[in-house]
Amino acid sequence: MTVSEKKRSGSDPESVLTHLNRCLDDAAGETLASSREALRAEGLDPAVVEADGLALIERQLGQQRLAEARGALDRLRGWIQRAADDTRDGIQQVREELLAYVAGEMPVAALYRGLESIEPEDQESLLADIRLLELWNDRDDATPGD
Amino acid sequence: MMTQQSSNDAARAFQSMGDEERRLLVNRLTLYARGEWRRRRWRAQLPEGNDAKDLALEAIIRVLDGRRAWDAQARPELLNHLRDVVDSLLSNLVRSSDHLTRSGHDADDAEAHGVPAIRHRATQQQQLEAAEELERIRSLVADDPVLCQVLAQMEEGATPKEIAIELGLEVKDVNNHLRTIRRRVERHRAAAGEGR
Repeated sequence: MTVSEKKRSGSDPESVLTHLNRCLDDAAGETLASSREALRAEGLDPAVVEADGLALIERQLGQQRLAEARGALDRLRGWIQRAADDTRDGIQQVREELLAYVAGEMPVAALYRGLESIEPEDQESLLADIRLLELWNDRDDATPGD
Repeated sequence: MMTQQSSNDAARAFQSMGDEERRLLVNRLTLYARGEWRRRRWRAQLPEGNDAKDLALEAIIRVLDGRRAWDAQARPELLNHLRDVVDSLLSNLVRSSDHLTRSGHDADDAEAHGVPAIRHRATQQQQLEAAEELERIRSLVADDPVLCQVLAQMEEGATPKEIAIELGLEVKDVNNHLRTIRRRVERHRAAAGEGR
């Protein structure tokens, strides 16, 4: 389809002028040299425009990097705090359980969390091991001179 | 988050640009802001102290700080997104200036015509000014048949690429012709003391 075939029938002068001006601006800014020439023709100093623009971009990117670094630091601080809290809680719990054991309020087995979750077969195996150790202990006691 | 992600899109795009690319983007955006500023100026007495460079820089700030975040998926060209931001900044200036102008009108006049009447007059005025400007540009290239052809195609809504195909030219030749037209328009404006 040629351009004339797709002529915009309802284009008003304002729309046509807007399209024309934007195409003229695009052509003027096609290369760095032509964009500088166009800026000068507009009465602007390209050196000032570019220097101000570059400085602003650097400043904005720097501020964004700073904000991201602050966010990362805050996240790291939070993580360290949570780890410290968990450790403090863990130590406190062990300390309380040991005190309870020493005071005779708790069987030694209760110190080992997860003992309840051991499978019945493994529990039987553990009991068999304990009985074996007891037998060895009894035998040692009954054998003088050993 | 969308805003955080999108402002990161813009930051990444700027970071990946070289020095020359950044300069070109700033220059093109400033040229665009300058052109749009001049084109809309008749509509309202825009406040002093806002020039094209300030508008371009304000658009860059808003895109980078996430207030007008750029979605690289939805609008692949960063320059076009920045142009949209310049447009909305200018529209806000025109609106606030329009409001000030209206509030400065005689109260009886405002009551008699109402806001839509004022806006309708502005639209008619805008079309008249645009038609006059187009006629002036045609007269500025009337001595050169190729420029006349390029301008006629532009008025039909063609892009430089489409004009190149239609006239059997290279796109860079079309852009050279467009720059020539622009220079003539600029010279004419400078001679007439417009747009400074």
